Amino acid sequence: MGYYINDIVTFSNKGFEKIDFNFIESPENAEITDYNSRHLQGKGLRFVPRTIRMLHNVVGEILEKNGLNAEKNMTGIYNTNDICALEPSIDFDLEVENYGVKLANPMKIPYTLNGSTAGWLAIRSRMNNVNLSVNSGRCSILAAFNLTSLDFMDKETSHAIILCAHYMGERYKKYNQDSTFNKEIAVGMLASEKKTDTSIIEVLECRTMSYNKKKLEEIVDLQTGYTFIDTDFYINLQNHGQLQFFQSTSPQLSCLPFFINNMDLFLPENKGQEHQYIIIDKKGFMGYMKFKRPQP
Amino acid sequence: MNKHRVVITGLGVVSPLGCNVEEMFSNLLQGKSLFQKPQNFLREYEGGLQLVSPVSDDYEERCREYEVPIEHSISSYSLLACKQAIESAGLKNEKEMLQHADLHIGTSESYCFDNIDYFKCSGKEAEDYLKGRYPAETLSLIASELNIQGEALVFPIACSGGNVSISTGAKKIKYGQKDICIVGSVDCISEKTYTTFHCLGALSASSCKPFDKKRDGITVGEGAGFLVLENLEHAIQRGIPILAEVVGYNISCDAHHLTTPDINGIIATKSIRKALEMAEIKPEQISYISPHGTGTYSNDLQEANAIFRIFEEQSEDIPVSGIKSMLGHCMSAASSIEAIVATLSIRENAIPETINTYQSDDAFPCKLNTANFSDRQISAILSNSFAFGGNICSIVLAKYQ
Repeated sequence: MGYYINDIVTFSNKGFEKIDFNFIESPENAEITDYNSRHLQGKGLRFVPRTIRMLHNVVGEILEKNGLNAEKNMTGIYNTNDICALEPSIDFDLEVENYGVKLANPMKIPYTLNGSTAGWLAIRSRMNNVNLSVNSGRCSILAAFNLTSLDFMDKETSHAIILCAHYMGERYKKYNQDSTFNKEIAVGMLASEKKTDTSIIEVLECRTMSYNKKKLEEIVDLQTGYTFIDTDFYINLQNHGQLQFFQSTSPQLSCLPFFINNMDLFLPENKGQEHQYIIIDKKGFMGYMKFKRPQP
Repeated sequence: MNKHRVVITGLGVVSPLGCNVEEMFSNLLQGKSLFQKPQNFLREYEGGLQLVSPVSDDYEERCREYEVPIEHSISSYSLLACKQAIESAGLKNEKEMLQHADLHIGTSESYCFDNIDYFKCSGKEAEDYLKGRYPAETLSLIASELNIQGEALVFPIACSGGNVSISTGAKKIKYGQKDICIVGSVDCISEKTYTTFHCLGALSASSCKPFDKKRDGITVGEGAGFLVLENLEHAIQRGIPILAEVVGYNISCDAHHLTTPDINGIIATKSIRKALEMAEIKPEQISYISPHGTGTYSNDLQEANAIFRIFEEQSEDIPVSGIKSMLGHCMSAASSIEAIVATLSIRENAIPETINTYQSDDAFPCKLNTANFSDRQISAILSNSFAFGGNICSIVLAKYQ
């Protein structure tokens, strides 16, 4: 079943206008200067991890830009973060270690769970529909795309906000300033059943699976269109026509959001062709998406 | 669109009352519980250590039987439960079918329960440490060990992870994406987990008493529960016995508070209602309720309110089987183990009673039936699960007809 990616909102400590597949380096003590405090009024924010704050900004902007505030009860949230809960989890452990169980702050506990990200965003935005956290390595976004299509078929939702973020935390930054992990970014994509004037791509099919070369060669065999391969290791795929390779330096974010965000650059001509985007993860996961650009 | 029926053909469990489905079910029917003080905890807790419910003593023996590494880890628990489920579904020697199957695992944060080590490392060592803490890392290990090459997903949604795994697996089969999905959830007791519940003041000073007036919290448990979900036509073609059918599900969020449910149970009611609507089952056709029933004040009040809204005057008669009173709260593993018990109840026509519950809470809109379960014909079961972050997932299982 086809559906549309109608909007993509990205948020980082720097602007996000040009293609940058090395993502955005986050210098030590970097402040999120363009932080939109409009959505962050209220108490109880002191212990909210930075990843969740960034994603909250993204969700707020998607809802507002697309006039979805009235349709929140038909909008699901799908969080594909991998280890963003680790920093709060370590923070809490450190507090227990240093001050003992009695003085550890229970306010920090909810954020030690990965699933609390989507929960917190739902609470702040008052969204009662599907609320999922799903992970499949770097293919997580494709897994969420697939679950979205199933929810559309179930008529449970008519919109879905698919989120991913990457931020390793202050402690990590302090010790690992040169690491490729040391990035800070949040992305949200709005998937909808209906096409709009702003529709970027039409998702035709999505699957994730374990990787093996034979399977990859079977998948890549497309008659028309381009195949974009998103991987961080070399794959020799000869005789497969029009291939384009990306390399992501993040362990959990694929280049897919950046690809969608810069669709006009990658696929300026819209001939109604079907294309493919394939992600291969070092942990042995592989995912593919068949898509096309919607006709105006 | 052509919709397929989804049936359950295999079960596997690692639990505090047995690492085998038959043994666990028999112990539950006898009302057993094996709570004990935690071993090897190093921290000091105000009021001393409360009871927990670790996996049963036969765990090591079962691990040897199924050639699973004997470890206190989510990967070993998952592997043992998955291998049992695969064997009971007659898929042990069906390598090609397994290769095409999907694997869904619900969990909370057990994959990173040894964070203390992280404080001691920096630089590359810290990076390697973090890489090893990804939920997908464990998932990858389990999928490759079982030679499952379909979609492998982790749902880090804590207590409702099992029901979410089942619901998403059922969707894939329903819409023809898959013929077989192995779904379930897992969690381990660790000092970290115990500490978090202690700090939240959620631990019972005695033992879990779901829906009792004197309920005072949870008893932490652990384990894993996995089910083989299958397309009905596929199961019939294989000639495998069908244990039950997944007929309805719903995932919602009460968007109320990160750790406290909305005691009015409005969204929980909506979730149950939608699951029943999908199942095309009227409330009066439900034979019993497998509640989330943690034994905490807010959770049980929320659920009692939701049950009353749906079942109205029938609420005082319909059996409410809170098995956390015997197994403890196995966190993410809880809901899949409850789905396994529901499946066995359908097969055996028997319902485990809620223990430790003696007096109904006056705050409830009705007096729930937690013990008088005799002479019931079981045709359909509602199973609820609620998690931190307001996540709610209700599923409806029915006798295959």
